[in-house]
Amino acid sequence: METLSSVVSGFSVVLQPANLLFCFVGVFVGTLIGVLPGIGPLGAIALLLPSTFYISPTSALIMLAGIYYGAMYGGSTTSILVNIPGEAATVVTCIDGYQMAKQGRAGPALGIAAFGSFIAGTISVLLLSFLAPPLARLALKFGPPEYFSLMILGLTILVYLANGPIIKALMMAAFGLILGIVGTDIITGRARFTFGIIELNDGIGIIPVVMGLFGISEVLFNVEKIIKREVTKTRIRGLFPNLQDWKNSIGPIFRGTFLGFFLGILPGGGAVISSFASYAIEKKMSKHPEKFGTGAIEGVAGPESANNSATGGSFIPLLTLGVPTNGVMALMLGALVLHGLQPGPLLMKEQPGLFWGTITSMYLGNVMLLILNLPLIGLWVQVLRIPYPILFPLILLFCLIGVFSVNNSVAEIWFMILFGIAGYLMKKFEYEMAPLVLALILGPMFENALRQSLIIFEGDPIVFLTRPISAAFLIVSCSLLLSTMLPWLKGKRKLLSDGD
Amino acid sequence: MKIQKILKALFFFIMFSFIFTGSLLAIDFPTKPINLVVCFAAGGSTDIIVRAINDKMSEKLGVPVVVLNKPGSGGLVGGEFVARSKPDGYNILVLSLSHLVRQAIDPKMPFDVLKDLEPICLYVSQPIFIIVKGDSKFNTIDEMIDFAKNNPGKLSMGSAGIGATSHFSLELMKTATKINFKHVPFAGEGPCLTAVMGGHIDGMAAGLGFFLGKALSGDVKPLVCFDENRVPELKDVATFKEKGYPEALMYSWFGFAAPAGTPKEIIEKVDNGFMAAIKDPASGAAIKKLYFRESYMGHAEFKQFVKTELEKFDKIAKSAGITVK
Repeated sequence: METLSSVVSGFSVVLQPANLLFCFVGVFVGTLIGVLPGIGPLGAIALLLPSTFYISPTSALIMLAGIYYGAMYGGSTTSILVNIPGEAATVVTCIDGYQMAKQGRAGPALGIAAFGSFIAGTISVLLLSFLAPPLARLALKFGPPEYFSLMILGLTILVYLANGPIIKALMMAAFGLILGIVGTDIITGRARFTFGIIELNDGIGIIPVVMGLFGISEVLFNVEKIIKREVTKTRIRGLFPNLQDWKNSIGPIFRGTFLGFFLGILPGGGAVISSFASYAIEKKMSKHPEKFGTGAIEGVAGPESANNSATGGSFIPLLTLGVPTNGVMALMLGALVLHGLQPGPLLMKEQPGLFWGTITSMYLGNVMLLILNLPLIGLWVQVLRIPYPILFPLILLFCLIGVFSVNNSVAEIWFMILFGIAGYLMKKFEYEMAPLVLALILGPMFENALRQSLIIFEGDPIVFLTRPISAAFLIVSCSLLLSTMLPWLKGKRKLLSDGD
Repeated sequence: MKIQKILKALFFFIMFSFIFTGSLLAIDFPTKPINLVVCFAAGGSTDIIVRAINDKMSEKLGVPVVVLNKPGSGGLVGGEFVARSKPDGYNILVLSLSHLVRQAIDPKMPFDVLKDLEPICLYVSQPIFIIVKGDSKFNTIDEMIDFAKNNPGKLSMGSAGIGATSHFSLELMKTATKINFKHVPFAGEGPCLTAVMGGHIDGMAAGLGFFLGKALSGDVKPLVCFDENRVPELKDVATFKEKGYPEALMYSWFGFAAPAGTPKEIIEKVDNGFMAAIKDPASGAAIKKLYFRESYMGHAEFKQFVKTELEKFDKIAKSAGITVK
């Protein structure tokens, strides 16, 4: 088993004191970054990139990787505690996680997020070790038509994120699609709906939108309510998930892991899409879907596992093909190039120490993160006991700093505030925010994939059905749509047969 | 009384003279850190090639030269920032041909490269190639051109977006070889490369550093180079010039520019300092590692170079009808 011996040699690389230290520094910094809303791993890695010039490429990659998946762990903390997603991938955790926190179950929520992330992270690294090259080839098979069909599937499942009337969710999704139009159209190069504002040329950023819609609006909403004692001092019931919680979560964790891993391999937003998809799947498979949105632990376990395992998956194209799947991977590519390495299929053969050292460091990193995060749960839960009049200015402050840190842009702060107000109004009139966010992310990708496909295949749409992977996604989407019609159809049939 | 009047006049005279010593102080440059504004995100190729040298620049100029990332809009955010900043030499733009290309296609660009910026010097350049996937049916550029001539509009070539260097290279290829093919824009070089490697499009134009690793492993095949002469790292790859298309000549480059109106002495000081940094052997090694070529051009020469490059892109944009209204 060649792989096994490579893994062992990888461990010998990572167990060197220097590399262990870098691994720890990476996951520690990553957790902090993840906890602070807005500032994501992208910003942290960008800041630390120049300093990696002075250390060996293996150590650099180990540290940067640690920051990345450490941030995924930490990102769920603020989502659960104060309804502010640390990252776009942890938006879904807000939905049920925050509800659990309001019911005094922040501890179990944080706990299951930590354990789920650990299990997912470990499994994804295992899969990465043994399946990397063939999976990378699979990822290459995804061309514009496959992305189009995947986006159709994504837009179909967003309906499942709705907890209230479907029509309201669809309205918000439509609004999200419209907002996604703002920016430079890559097919023609023209700026659409930017009104001359240069900061809108790249579209409305997802971070300002998400932090405004979820974070700022929640603050505004809470401040408006008369702050009753019960709201801020909910009795903290238990710090860790109990047996029932585990029984409910084990399925979502494993499903989320595999879903996240495979979606993470695909270039373009793997972690975000996988967290939404996991939520939708868990809701569909649950025996009590109405509980979702009110604090169902499955709604935390699944998405958290999915986004952590997606980070493992997203390394595959980088390490085996030299193709980055997202912004963070592009930075890692930069780090490797800075050290004079040429990431590509030869990297595995020419630099086995680097390749296997990085992969095995992820095993250790996951263990370190679990050990780091579990004791902190007790500490985080105490944050909720801070009187809200003191807590909310701090939240606002972190949001402001977080948004600014992404692009050094004051305009994005204004966007966040704007969306905060919009989110507040949406909450008051009970409109859903998750469909808007998902549509905002998927819309542009959907449009680009469609138009690229039509250019390549000269306007012939049959290609979406003749290519197997694309056809598969479309069939699944249709089945999902039809399955929601089944109860209605059954009802009609009953009506007809009763009428006889 | 008279004494008082004289003293008052003297006092005001001394006060006024301080105003004019301000311009004398300008020659005392630099006295604080200099910002090197990179218009793309950290870790990208622009960022890396600049970070390979900013420490040396700090050494030669005696003050910290700091990289400031101002990404957005393909270079416009950073470019506008420097064009509008004080012409005191403390904000210097990393100018690339993408700024010029943008000016050629966008009449509403928020600043003008020739009017609002003062070029300082050229730093590095990198050759551009046409690449296809490793097991593509095309083994030479002639095969690709023949295919395109016999099947007009069937070939599909990707780019990193409208107005990107990779896009303009394709347009240059079109006009020089007089073939027609489908241009498929992607949201960046990465997705474009993935599409090429997966066989979803036939090929793309890319800078050497971007694809060399994959070329050496056989995952992509470089067919032709847009340079004057063959590139040492890929000696077996012909140039367009050899194949009979000498107009297909371009390469990607990076230089430095200050806001227009920056005093000549400051430009000279910066030019000299940067030249020393660029010509330093340690920098040369770092630049080579990143597969760039050291291509230093001084102030006057670079200014002329910027003009001719802009004319070249204007011509391509007009003939291909590319505009971003």
